[in-house]
Amino acid sequence: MKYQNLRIKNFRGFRELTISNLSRVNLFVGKNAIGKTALLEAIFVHSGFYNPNLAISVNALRGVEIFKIDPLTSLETPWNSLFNEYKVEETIEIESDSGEVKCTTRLKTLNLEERIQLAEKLRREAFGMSVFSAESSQVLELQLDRDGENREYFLMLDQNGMRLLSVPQSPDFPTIFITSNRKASPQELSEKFSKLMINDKERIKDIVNLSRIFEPRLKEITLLTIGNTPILHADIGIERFVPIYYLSEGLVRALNIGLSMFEVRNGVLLIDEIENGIHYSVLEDLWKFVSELSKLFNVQVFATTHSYECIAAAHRAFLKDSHDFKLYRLQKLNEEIITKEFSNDELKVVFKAGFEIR
Amino acid sequence: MSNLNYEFIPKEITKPTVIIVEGKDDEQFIESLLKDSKVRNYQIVRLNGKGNFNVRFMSALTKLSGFDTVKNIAIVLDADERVENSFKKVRTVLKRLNLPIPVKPGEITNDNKHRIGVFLFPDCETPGSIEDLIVRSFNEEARKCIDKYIKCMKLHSGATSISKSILYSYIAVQGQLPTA
Repeated sequence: MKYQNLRIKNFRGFRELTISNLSRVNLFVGKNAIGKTALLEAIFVHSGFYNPNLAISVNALRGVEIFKIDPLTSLETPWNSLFNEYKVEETIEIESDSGEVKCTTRLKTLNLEERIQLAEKLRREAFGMSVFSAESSQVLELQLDRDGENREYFLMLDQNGMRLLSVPQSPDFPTIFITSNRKASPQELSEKFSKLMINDKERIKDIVNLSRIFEPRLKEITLLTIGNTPILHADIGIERFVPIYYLSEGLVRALNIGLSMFEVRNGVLLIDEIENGIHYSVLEDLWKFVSELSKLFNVQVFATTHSYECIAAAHRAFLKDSHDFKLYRLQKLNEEIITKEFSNDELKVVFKAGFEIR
Repeated sequence: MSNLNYEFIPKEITKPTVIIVEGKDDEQFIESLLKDSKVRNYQIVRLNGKGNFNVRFMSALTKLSGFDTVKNIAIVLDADERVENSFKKVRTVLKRLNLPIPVKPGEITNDNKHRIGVFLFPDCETPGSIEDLIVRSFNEEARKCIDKYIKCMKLHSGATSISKSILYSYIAVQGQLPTA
């Protein structure tokens, strides 16, 4: 498992949040604006610690892409919103522990003095050539501490746009973020499908078998190109193949989850509002689908939901493998966001008594 | 229109006082008892069986959103055969959850965060149940009639408490008894 424990400091709404005893499949619940998506974002940034660009792309995942900021006239940078209460002078710290490896990601906005020092250092390294102007740029520093080994990367914003000052390394394992508000595009799904077919074509059978929950007529999935666009098509037993988008949203979502699961094998999959587009009657099957695939491809899953039915379905789906599932509720206590972890036994009580848990 | 039931609504903890009871009868009894009292801002949580009062029930309850604002907890159960045993079981659960533990049934303890009282029917001292307490409130004449009736009909088999038989007999003819 990639993460057993997590500690998130000064990120978005979290001043300091600790999550312990994570499982293979983890479900997070809680009210709106409590930080469920932010938690997935923190894991995403941390998992891709090699690349400070990720810190910015999480904003894009929320549908916010504001890059047209002039650092000469505005102090606001695209990364300001990542800091708790926009306090950019604080350092964001995300710490994980897999039981074997301890990893810390720190995100820090450099002040003028630090930027001057950095510019000096880089000028020396570049034999006197000016790399950037400390006065007219903003710099986000990303420090990585992986079991005592330290690295640092810089993301710079100036009139020419945004650029990285050092070449990022590849991450140890892949991570995918499936957002709640954006449907997977035909290109994205086609690419994921192609990767699967190139690497392990037999696995598509597992995904198709499991996807049948959402479209019982499904026999086969294939990639066809229509007007220059590759689109996944399904054989549902009629004369012709049908684009999966015309079948059901649940099937598209399931295929996206299934194909992503393969792409992040031995890694981490983040799914925001997992129940989106899925009828309540197949939610338990969806969780079984997630459980099977996460086992098959050795993926640690972090998902969120607002739905009581979805939580109950997850509880039922994992009754036999209860050690593989954990439910956490994010809630406010004295203005701080905290997590409450529910065991399988406690969930039994919750559903027997009909307690509110969302 | 208010009777329409569109969906199942899960129960939330919203009041500062939580009263934990065994079942529906206990809930109705407590509600009636508190109707004329000053206790207003409370909610009743049903165990649906005394056996469900255990560590996992209490730990789930204390993790519910809203529980952080709970100040008073009353645990109201039947004493059954032995008052000490029933009380000991509650103490064990409270201890495991680091909640304050009252010295004896009927007394309230306080750790500045929660006030907790354990109340065992009929009177925190004698073995028995809620039915024993209710039967005690019957007037003498009614009691004599019911006793006679039960004896004559050989209704009480001994399998359940005699108070239960008395109470059910009373309920069967409620509103038709001579007043004292």
